[in-house]
Amino acid sequence: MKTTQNFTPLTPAVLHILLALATEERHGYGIMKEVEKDSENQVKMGPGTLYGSLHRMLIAGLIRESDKKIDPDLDDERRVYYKITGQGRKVLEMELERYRNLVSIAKRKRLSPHAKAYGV
Amino acid sequence: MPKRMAYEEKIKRYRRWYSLLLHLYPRPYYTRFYEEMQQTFTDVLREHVGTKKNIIGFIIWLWVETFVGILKENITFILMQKNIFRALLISTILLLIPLTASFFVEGWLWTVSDYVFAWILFSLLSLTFTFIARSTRGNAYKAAAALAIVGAFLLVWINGAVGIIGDSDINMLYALVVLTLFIGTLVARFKPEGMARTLFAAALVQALIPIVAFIINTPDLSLGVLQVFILNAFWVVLFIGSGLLFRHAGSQAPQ
Repeated sequence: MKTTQNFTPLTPAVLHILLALATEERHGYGIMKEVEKDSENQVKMGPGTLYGSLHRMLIAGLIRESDKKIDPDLDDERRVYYKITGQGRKVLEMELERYRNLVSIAKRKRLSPHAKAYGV
Repeated sequence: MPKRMAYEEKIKRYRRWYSLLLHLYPRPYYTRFYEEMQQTFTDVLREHVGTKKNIIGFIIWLWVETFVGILKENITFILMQKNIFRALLISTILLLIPLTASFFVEGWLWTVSDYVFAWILFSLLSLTFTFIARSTRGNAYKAAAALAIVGAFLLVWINGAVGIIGDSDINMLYALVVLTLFIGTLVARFKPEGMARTLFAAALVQALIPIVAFIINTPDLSLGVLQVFILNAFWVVLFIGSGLLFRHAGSQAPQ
């Protein structure tokens, strides 16, 4: 069985998908929109990247499928929703911790663009 | 309104073309995601139409992006075939154990058909494990499946080699356990709740066989009889354990 350490570092796509699913379950298009919103349009994911990542994340047990539902904001097609698993949440926390450590190293070395402003 | 309807017609046409592109994905991936990918393609296209930006350029980008995904998935799929090759190779290497033993252990008399039987069993076992490891099910389901497979494998293996109830035809009754597992799995269609019931049924059949054999053969109570019951209890525990894990997997599954 894979431990949470085996999953990190995550690819940017996987990290963004986990972040998008951390707050609520979403369908494919919903994930895309949330990733765009979170990244302030910096990350644009197409269906190829999105479903390739979802496929691998399902296999790794980071996410799971929920029942098919209609999204009232879209059309009357039933959509598969995805939700983060306990394992996915742990992996996300670990990855965020890794980023926090990197930022603190950068700040210590005065490499962070905000180092002067924050006086660190 | 007519303009919007014209756009919807266009989107439908682009969706049909996109669905043709999706056929290039490996079969299992295509079956699993083609409907969702078409939906998402339509959703992003509708959104893009709303922005009044160049739609053709956007469609080309979606096609190229998806095509890169197709290449990636096909490579992964081919590597997965390598896993199958590896599984078969492992079963062949495992055969070296009895082959080596036949040179050193006196009375070890395996015929060619014994080796073929062993290779088929090892291959089935390693291939099944390969597929279980790749499945999208949770860990409880995977552990339950692994336990059930190991149990069935050991049952067929030990029974085929030496027989559980002595060297008697009554051992044929154990085919009922395998049959229960097989039919139960087909009826349950691998769903955890049904699989749990199948494993409990297999445990019950397993527990009943020595009792039926005892009634038919009416042997004297001896250590050998006790050993048969203890040996059977091993599989009963194994199957119940697997059934409980399947039940747990069922309770964890999304409602």
